Amino acid sequence: MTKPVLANTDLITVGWREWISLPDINLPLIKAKVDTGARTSALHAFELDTFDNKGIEFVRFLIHPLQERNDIVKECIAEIKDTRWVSDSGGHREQRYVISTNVSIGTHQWPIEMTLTNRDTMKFRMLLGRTAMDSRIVVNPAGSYLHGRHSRKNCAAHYK
Amino acid sequence: MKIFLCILLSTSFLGLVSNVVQANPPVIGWVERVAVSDQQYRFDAKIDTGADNTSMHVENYHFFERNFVKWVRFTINDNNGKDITLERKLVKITRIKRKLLHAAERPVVRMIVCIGNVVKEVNVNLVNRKKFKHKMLIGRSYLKNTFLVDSGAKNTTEPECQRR
Repeated sequence: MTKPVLANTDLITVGWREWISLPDINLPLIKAKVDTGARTSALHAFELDTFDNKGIEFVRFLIHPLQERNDIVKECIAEIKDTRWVSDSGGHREQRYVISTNVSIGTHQWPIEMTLTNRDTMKFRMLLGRTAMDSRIVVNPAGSYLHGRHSRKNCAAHYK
Repeated sequence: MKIFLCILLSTSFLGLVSNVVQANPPVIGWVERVAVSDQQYRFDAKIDTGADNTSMHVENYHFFERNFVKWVRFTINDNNGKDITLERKLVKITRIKRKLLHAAERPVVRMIVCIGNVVKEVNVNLVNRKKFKHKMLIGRSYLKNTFLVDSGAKNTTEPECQRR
């Protein structure tokens, strides 16, 4: 017999797509796919450059935070936590930088690990994977933007 | 009049029930044991909110015609590694967008898939997933309004659907 485990009220219910923010790398608004099929979280980045500051290694990268708005470019800087081999959904393996950043969804915020990849060919600029969900959230596959919707205009205004 | 009232009451009751189901569907993990095709074959499937549709591993497939209609014959492995050959009417050929690669084409067939005590007949993409750990992916079109997914949980249910 299946035990219909009811949604734990401590868990945040999110849709499979959400507008989130990454305050530590100055990204106020980015659409993420909440993907239980992915272990690792990923952010699409390009022109990655690393530099050393007082013995700590940093990565500087560019990102188009809004899909279909390649005219909007944002520069981000983060400390490199690790480099890791990651397989994408097609089974293709690549080595990626791992950074650590807070993620905010609605009123909730917690630290996650994020890998940097060139996902420019894909629709979503960010994937929120299982390790980042951290047993804090359950995903409603029927829901989208349960923690706030933003019009195209409103999104662009965040990057003015 | 009585019959009318009865219908009215029962439809409003059904409406209420479906609302309740939608508001608080049961939670399952990101890997669950599922049964396909009348409970005969069982797999550990990945419950994937990032996928639109359901897909399953086939060793091989080929098309044939039966009464002027296109069918697919394909071979799957159950959890014990046993080969099973199935035949289904071809619903369509779907194109999958892939990163760094050309789009892939996959045959789509109807399959009965059971998770917990939920049974649904859905479109399933046939694909070679040999290099992947999970031979089946359950996508949002199956999960919608039926389950929530907790990525911190695994194997919370066993398929227990009535044979049809």
